[in-house]
Amino acid sequence: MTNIKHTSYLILSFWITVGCNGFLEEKPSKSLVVPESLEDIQALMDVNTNHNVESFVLFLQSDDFDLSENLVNEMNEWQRNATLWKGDIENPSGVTLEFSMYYEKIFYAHLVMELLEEGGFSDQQRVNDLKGQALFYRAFGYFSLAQLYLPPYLSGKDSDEKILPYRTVSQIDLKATLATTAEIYSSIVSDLEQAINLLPEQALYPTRPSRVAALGMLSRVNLAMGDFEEARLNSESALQIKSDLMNYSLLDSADFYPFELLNEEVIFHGVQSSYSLIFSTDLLVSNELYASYDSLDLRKQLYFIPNAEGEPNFRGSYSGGFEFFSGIAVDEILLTAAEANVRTGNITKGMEHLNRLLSSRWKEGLYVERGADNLQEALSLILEERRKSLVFRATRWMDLQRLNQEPEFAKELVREAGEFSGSLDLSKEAYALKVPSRELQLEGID
Amino acid sequence: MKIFIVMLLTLCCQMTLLGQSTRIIEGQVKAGPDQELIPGVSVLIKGTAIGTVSDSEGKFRINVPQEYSQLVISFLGFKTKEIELTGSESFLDISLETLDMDLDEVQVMATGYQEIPRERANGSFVTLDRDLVNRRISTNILDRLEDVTPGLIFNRVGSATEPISIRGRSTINANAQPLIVVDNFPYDGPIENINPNDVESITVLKDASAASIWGARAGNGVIVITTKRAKEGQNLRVSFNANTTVTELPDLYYDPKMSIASFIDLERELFDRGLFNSSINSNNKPRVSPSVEALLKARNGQITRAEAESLLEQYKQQDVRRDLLNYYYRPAVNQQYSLSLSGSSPNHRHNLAIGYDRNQSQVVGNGNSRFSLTKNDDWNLLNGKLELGTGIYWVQGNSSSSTELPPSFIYDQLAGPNGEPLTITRTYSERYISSISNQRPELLDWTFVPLNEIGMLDDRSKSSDLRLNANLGYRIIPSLKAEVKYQYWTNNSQTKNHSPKESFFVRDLINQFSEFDAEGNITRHIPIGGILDLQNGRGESHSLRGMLSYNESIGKGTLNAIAGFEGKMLSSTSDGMRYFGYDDELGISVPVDPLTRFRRLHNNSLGSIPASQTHSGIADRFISYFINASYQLDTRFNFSASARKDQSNLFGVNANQRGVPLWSIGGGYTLSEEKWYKFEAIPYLRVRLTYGYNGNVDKSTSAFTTARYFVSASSIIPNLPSAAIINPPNPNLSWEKIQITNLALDFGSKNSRVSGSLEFYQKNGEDLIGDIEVPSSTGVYNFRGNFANTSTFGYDFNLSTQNIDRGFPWKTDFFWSYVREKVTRYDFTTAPSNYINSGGVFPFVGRPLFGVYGYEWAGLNPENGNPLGIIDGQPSEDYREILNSATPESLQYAGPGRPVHFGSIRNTFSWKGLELSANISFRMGYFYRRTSVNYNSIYQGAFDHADYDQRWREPGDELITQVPSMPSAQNAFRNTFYLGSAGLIGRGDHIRLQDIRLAYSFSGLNGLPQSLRNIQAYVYANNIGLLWKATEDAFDPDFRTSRPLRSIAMGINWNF
Repeated sequence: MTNIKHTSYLILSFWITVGCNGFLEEKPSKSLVVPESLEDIQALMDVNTNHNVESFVLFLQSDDFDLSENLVNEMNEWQRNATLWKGDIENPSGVTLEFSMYYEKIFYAHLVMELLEEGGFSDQQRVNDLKGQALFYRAFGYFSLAQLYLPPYLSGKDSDEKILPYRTVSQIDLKATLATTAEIYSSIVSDLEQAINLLPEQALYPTRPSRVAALGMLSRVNLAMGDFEEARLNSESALQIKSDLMNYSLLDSADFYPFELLNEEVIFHGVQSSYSLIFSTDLLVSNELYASYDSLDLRKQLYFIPNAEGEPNFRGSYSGGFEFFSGIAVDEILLTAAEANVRTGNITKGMEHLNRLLSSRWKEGLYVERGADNLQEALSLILEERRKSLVFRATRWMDLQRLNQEPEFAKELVREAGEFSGSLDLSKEAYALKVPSRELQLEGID
Repeated sequence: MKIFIVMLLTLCCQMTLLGQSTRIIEGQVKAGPDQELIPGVSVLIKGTAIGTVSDSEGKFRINVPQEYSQLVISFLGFKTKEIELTGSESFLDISLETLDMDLDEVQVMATGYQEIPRERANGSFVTLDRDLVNRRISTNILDRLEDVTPGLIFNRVGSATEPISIRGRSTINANAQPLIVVDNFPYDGPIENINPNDVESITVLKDASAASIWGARAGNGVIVITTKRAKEGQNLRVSFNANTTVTELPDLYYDPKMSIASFIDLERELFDRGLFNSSINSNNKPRVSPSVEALLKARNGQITRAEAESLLEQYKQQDVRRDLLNYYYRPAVNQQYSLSLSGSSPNHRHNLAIGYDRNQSQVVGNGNSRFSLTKNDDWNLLNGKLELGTGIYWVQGNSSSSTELPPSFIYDQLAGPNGEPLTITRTYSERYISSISNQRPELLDWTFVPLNEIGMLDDRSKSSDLRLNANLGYRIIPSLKAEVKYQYWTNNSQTKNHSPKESFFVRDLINQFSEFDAEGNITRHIPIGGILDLQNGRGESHSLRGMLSYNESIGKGTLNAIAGFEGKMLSSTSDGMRYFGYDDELGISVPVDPLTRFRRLHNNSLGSIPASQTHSGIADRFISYFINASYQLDTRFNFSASARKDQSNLFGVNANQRGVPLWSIGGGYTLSEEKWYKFEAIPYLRVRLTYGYNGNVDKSTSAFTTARYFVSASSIIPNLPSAAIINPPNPNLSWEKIQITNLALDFGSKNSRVSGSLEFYQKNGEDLIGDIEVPSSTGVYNFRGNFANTSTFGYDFNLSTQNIDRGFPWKTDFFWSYVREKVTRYDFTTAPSNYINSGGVFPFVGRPLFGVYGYEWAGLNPENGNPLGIIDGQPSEDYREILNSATPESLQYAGPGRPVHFGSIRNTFSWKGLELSANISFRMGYFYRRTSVNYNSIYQGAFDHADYDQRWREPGDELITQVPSMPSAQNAFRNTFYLGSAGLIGRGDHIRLQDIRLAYSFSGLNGLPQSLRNIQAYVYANNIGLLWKATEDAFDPDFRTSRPLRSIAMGINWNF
């Protein structure tokens, strides 16, 4: 019997050793976490390679560049379809990335908001910050989707057509509902308004949303919605927090990329998704636009560089490299403030913003202050400079959409290159991409 | 714990029942030509129901009351023996004589917990004995299972993570690999570290009853490998085995490609259409092919078009594959040696084996080797009451590679007419390299001369693997034995990749990170010197098992039971680091600045130096409780049952979901033992039936949101940690369960001329974990959960016949496996394109997991050669609509993608000392999709499929070809339709002469001294070729892009 006792002691002692002390609690892999802490949640918001990226399609649909036969041959089929306004950028086998990338941001945003809700954290300041970041990204996602997949706000706001999949929680096995243009925009505005109240004035890193970024984003949304009073208030508030401008005279145009990454004008860092097309020396800035820069205007030299044939390629990205910047920078907010002031009747204030910006873009000491006799003249001037400053920034598509609602700024777009051609008259047609058929099939909406 | 209490109580009762008036008789039972010790032999006290069975070493111990004096020893297939006890014997050495029905050999089912003789096992298993394990020559032990194991197939299509399937696939997307057990414990190291020469036998466990002892890890079947140990009573035996395998050169022309002439013509056409301009003009300065470079020179006026054309004509004569075969490839040569010594003294058995493998791979300068050392000992102490066993298994694996195949254009020339090394492009264009080299002579040479780089790299990896086993068994009372088994395993690996400063890789990186100031002074952010990547990995595990086994006669039969628990902890970590400016002679390296973003020279983009520091760590924890019992009622009936509960540290699962209980029951009935059984042609007939559940653990799936942390110096904010979601939450996740029913019939004819078995099984997979496609508006594309059920029906039939048994013996072993799996539940629908792309497993109710689907095909349009699909029953060229309107139901379903029938027939002929065996295997009832010309790749300048040359060019061609015309521009929808069309589906059925083995044994040569008679010399040829295939396509349906290479091995085996 003693032997049996010994054996059972042996067995029992092993059982006790492994049964307790969290033997089964050990993490199976070091780099894996179930996100729980505020640090984990912040890390979820810092996936810059996903969250700070804008679709390349916004650029392709714009008139920032000229389409040549060479360029059209270098394009993928979906890029060509986007460029020629064919209404469809679907990938025949699989997911349309330019659609899904925004929902991925939105998914992270929902997850973060839910984790904050469940977490019961005591550090309210950080919780607010993180919630603000999540709301910002959700608004960012829906706003970009709205620009691509919804008609311009002014022509679509009264329609009760349900178009875009809309989600408010992260739960995967829940079907999305479709939302109307008005619903999407009101959700964007409401998220940004909340975010403004929650976020710190400025973020530790410009890759993270901040109050000034949210104000900047909201002023952009206000413009798209034609709400100039709000646009004025929000852009002015943003400028209260940050209004640093670079002096372009101090930059060296001999550097291939003259701008620094995260330079002092950047409020929120973002880039457009990169495809081999952005390396092409056939990607030329719109000839008409290039010709409009004054010879004393340093944007002309700093933004563009001639290729081997002497034609201008873009190089002036605020990303400091080949990626096209698409974030929010002080120059854009100044231009928004200028336009919104003018449109709400304050021409002087508007021109003041414009002159402040332009004097920093001109050769040192050679800038001559602009003036405008009337609202229309001031507006034309500001819109022209807006186009010249924000070239290759992915904001032009939004401007084309909203300005074409006004007859005096309407512009028919035409492209022809070899056997390919396309045209678009946004003043007559509310153009939007089709929601990918894969999505509708899987949502069970046909 | 209840189990133990019950067992202990039973035990106490037994102790009291056995009084003083008994004597203990010990003994062992041997049988067969080698007089091997036999487990599971029934030892009964004549005239009572008291008895025992011999244990796994063939020993027994029995308490015989004084009044009885006869033992009855019986074992199926052997003559029953009665022993008269004289009262003075201490140890009985019993030898059983075989019955004339002469069952081949004593087969046991080794489960890793116990060894159960075939006659008492109800479950489904296959045992490969030493001869069968050794029949094939290979470095890897698992290869030896191929084509000799009913129900087991090597998958040649589908995921690389599932090389072997046992009775079909039991999961959708979770872990699909069988559990591999080596010497009683799940094996943690790389399987390459098992030396096949050390292996005594392999047992493959297939059904619930056989495998359920492994519980939650048995769902995909279990492969139990047992290494050699010395046998009791064995004299000193030395055995030596040496062989060399030579594999032919690879066939670089096997994968059908367009002709080089038409490729160059195509490049000219695309160039003239401006399609290479993006590459030519790109800021990245990418290389373009030599033809494009020549045409560009002509366009820029540097040469005339005629000169360019003559260059093109010259290129048409070149072929890089010729140079690769001349300078890079050689026949692979594998050498294998092993030497073992084993022997025994009355209380001690020992075995020592040394193995050495040296493999020269098919690319020059590359190869690997393996050295293994095995020592194991077994002791019987305290009069046989205590058994102690130890084992040391040490393996040192080395691999080295000094040459990589150059990434080249198909008509690049690597050597000049006299073999002098030539420059080709790599990464950058010729134009950029020559202009920058002129402009910046300070740069390191930026050209790439592939032949100069042969043998230049110094990439080595070493792995040493150590397994220490100890087991201690104590026979508490004759019928009860307690055992503790422990294994410590550790693996240390070091990978050292050294690229010297002369290599292109290093020169390129240094040049990319060179900067010039206004005066033209160079700053090198990466110092001149080699680049050294070190990767160190360490893994270790402790496994401990405590087990009680109980053998006792109860009533008219004997009870055999084991119960115990098992715990395991495994951890492994690895760290990697890159060093720059490395000087191998001095052993020094130079730190670099990994944080600053520098302008890369060739494209001015910002980038930080690709320094790498990696760390990873994993931990596995398992605790299991198991019980397994069988009751043998005389020689006719056998009942068995088992249960097991597993718990593990599955990530993100609540504690109460960590464990899963699994169980099985089974019964066997030997009809031929019945008195009424009179069927003399089949003197042995047994039916078996089992039922139960196996499980499947998948550590990659979690119910909680799981994120992976990343830190990178090259992110926008250097070193800012970010966490990416790798697993979205799924609170409803549960374990996969596989229910298996197995019904089997075993039979043997008189003299064992014909023997075999037929097993039917039904497997029902419940709550299988699979991916479903979800709308990307969820934020993910796929979602993993318990979305499917499957039902698999199959049978394994095997038959061995001794066609001629004297003079010129001829034996045939045949097996035929049938497996038909069917999805019975799938909760979601998925896009039709998923069924066409064979990337993942996408279920379809009523069809197998792997199916071959295609868009309906209506041939070519005779006017323009466009491929035609079908919309609403009408031929159509609206490819977008064809793809968008397709539904899973509207796709044409050709059939299963994996063989439904497979098997092999192996004939063995002997004559004098010669033995010839040939294995012919077959696979039937499945389909494949072949590739064809991809016009999207064509438009990107790719060297594409041979079908390009067969394409439709003018009306009338549709009568002789099914390959569409070249579209006037890239057309992704047309391309996707064609490559997914049903027109490209073929039948996979084929019969293959897999291998032939010829052996000669010197034992019959009377003139030879005894020591030389035990030599066997053998020749083995593998991958001999196809005998028949259903398809007319030129390739082997199972190897569509590269041919299985023929090999021949020669060796000797010497036992003395």
